[in-house]
Amino acid sequence: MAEQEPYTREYIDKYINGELTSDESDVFESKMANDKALSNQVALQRELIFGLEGLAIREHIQAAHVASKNRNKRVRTLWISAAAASLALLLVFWIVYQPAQTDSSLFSQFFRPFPDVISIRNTDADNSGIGMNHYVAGEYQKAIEYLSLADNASENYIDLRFYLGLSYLASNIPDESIAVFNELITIDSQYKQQIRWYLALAYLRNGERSKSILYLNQISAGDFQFEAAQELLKVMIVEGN
Amino acid sequence: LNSYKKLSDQEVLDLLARKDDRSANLAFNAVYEKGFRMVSSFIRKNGGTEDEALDIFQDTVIIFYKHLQENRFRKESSIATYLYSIARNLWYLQLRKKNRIQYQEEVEDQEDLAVELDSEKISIVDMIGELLEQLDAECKKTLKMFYFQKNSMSEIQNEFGLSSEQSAKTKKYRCMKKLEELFVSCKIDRDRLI
Repeated sequence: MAEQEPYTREYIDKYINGELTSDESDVFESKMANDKALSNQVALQRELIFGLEGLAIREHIQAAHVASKNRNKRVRTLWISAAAASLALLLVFWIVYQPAQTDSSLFSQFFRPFPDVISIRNTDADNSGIGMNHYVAGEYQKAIEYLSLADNASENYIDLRFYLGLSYLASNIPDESIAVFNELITIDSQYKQQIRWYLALAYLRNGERSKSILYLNQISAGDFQFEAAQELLKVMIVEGN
Repeated sequence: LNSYKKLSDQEVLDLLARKDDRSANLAFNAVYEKGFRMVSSFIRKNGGTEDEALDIFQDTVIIFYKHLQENRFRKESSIATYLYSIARNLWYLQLRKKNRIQYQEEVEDQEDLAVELDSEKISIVDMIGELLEQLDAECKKTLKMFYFQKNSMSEIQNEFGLSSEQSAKTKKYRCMKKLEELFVSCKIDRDRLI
């Protein structure tokens, strides 16, 4: 009897894992219906397997989290190394030209929300469409709530993330806006020029003028908001405001 | 490298249905990418920390996985939205337990999916985690190899130098039996306390 038990458990395992044929399952279920001890054993077995699988899932997610953190750290290190020389030069300007005008007022002077150029809301009544409607209505907090649910499998994903970044910026949450735009700037999208401009403004709003200047310097003649970028640079650096 | 980042929802679901370690790794990495940032942002904006967000997200994925097994995820929303909805409910439940909010007020604001919370189930995972530590090293390794790394019986046989796959099966079932005894006794103790 002691040797028999593992085989009974194996059978229960097969049932729980859906490895029995349909006929075998039916027979087993009717047996369970008339055998309280057996159905209790199945329930117990289910709980044990659920607990073990749950622990395994926790390990998977923990590992994914650590890997993601390490990746972000590597990207940050790379970015910092590449920007170090420029930052050193900008630091000199920063010390010499103490800003008289506040970052906040400069931001308000230059920031204008990008117009809605995608037209998904007529065909798409889901979160994305609702989010874009809020964006157009200037209800940026509500836009964030819906646009942050954008599915990365969606064909409009990059557009929606772009407008999410703008909504954060318009809601005075520059750090979230920076996170979204930094994610997008690595992707070759139609918004590359716009992202440089809005990243510069987001850093400005966040009180990080050196990074703002770094992005303003990347805006070339003919690019989106080139003239405004030059004007802002002039205010921040040349005039020492 | 990082191929999981481009997986569609359907591809993730297909991978989760397979029962091998590589598929599970890819699938859970993809699930993390799809859902964690949004969940973390929500929790941090609602009085939580990054660590609390990770704990909630882990439990969220466990519940999501259970819903998949029970065919309760109907694909009416994306995986990311579904995860967000579960996480939001879990977080409100946790806040209520800690008396950090009046739960009822928040519940009334919710317009999301009818995701049934089953925090009792999560307590089983916690309990099994503690009981696993009480097993001897070989049993713990056997169960982890089978349920965590999805190793086959033949791999368990080789690991412990057993004579046949049947011996590996018997070893695994005996370990499960020990875990079951501990689990039943723990539940009885808990019921007595209640």
